Amino acid sequence: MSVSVSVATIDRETVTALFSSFGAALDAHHDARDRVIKASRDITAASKKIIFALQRVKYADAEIQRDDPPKAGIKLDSKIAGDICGLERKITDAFGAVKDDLQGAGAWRYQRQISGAIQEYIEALLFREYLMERWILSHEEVQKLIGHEFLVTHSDYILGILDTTGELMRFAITNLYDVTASSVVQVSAIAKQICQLLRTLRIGFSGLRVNSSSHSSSTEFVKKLNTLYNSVDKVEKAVYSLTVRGSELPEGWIPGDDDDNGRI
Amino acid sequence: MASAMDLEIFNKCQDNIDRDSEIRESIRSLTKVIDQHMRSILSILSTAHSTPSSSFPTFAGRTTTSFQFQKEAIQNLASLASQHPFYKYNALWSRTLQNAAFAVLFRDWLVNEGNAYIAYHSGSSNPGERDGPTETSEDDEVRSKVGQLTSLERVCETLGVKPGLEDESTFHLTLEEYLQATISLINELSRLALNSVIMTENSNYSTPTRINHFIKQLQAGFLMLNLKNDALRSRVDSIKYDVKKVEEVIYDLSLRGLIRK
Repeated sequence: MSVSVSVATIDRETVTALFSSFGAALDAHHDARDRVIKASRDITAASKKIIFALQRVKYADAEIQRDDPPKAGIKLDSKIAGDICGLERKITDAFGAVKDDLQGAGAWRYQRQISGAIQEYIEALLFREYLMERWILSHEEVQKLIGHEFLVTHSDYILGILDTTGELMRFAITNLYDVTASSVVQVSAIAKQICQLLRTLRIGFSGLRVNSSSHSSSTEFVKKLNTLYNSVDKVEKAVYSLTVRGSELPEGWIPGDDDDNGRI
Repeated sequence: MASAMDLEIFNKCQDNIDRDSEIRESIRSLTKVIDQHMRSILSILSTAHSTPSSSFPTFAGRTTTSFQFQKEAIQNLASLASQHPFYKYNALWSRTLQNAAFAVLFRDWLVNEGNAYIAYHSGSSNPGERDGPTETSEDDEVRSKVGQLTSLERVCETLGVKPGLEDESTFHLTLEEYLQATISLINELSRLALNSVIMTENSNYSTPTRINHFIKQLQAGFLMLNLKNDALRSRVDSIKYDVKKVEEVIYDLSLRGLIRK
């Protein structure tokens, strides 16, 4: 855009020339912004679907299928793995469509527009990695997976982890019973591990000093931190109930037969 | 059980949060200095509301030192901000730069208006003093041709920042900030239209007429923009009230035959 006059005497022609050049610059900005918002929506939707697909995994079956049993983690069945692969392709395409808009100055200019999508995708990546490898990806690992041409801020990463804890809680609750134990009702290994992980996260995050006035993401952080506290509570209570009541249940009792089964 | 995560994550997060708030703090303290200079400039410029238009150039000249200080303060901010991605912290100083830009626009407008006023007043006897190339000496010419909007480039020059339209990543005054400043000028002038009537000498009611013309032209310009539902949009919507305010002044004056229609 070039505006040649240095001091514009305001008459009709100058105003028209001046503002049409401004208009062109603003339009370009709004178009880029709209593209980013659209990509952001697509990425968020696909990431959510990945998470749902992972929640449908039957832990017990998946674990048994794993090729190298000494290593923790699950193996996805081919149907779910295929679904996730297709969704990931959608995400890659959506990122690709706004690659240019998010280059250089655009990375921070449209950060607020893409941030939600990045967080959701981080959630999907972390959740999958945890289920499959029992590992929480670091910021660097996430950045590598998303690609270095896209900005993954630290605050997106933190908020992404906090979102993941909600999914972990859900997974622990649905897979609370150890169905492999034939005779006694007991808590599954995965529920115990998730319980332990959530506690570690709770301790780590509650230790962070966040200046609440510094920026908007810190209010979000505080909100999500409270959700984490609740998730830890839920899992702890569920594991506790099952441990206590499990010992009273008659031998050979199968979970799901009864309403009073300690679920929350 | 082996830990499922690298516990260093939390330390790294803390380091990041601390570094970030440190930067924010330093930027804020630098914008405060700019704001101070901006306020002293504006307090001088607001004399316009209580003096005749003929004195505008004189007191506008008194802002030169403050403008110099302001420029230096902006320089400090620019060198700090340039160490980081431009839009990462842009929101922290955007308002400050907007106001500083407004100060430039207002000063330049006042200087110009003062000269036009003097030229209009002595117009019939001494047309040579008239500002600009218009020698046709008709009142309409004076009314319509004066009223200047300082360009984005020129405002940047006065503030000592790069226009940065080509390279968005260096420290610059954004187009939105410039447009916001322009709307502030319109706001200010709608108030000045009233006050200039109070301060009129020798029945020279030309200032409101020029303001009327000036802001209507700008309004037409703003109507050309496709705006989204953002901060700029709501301020552009407010222009119509300023236009109405000035129109009422013009109406009052022409009703009483104080200005020619």
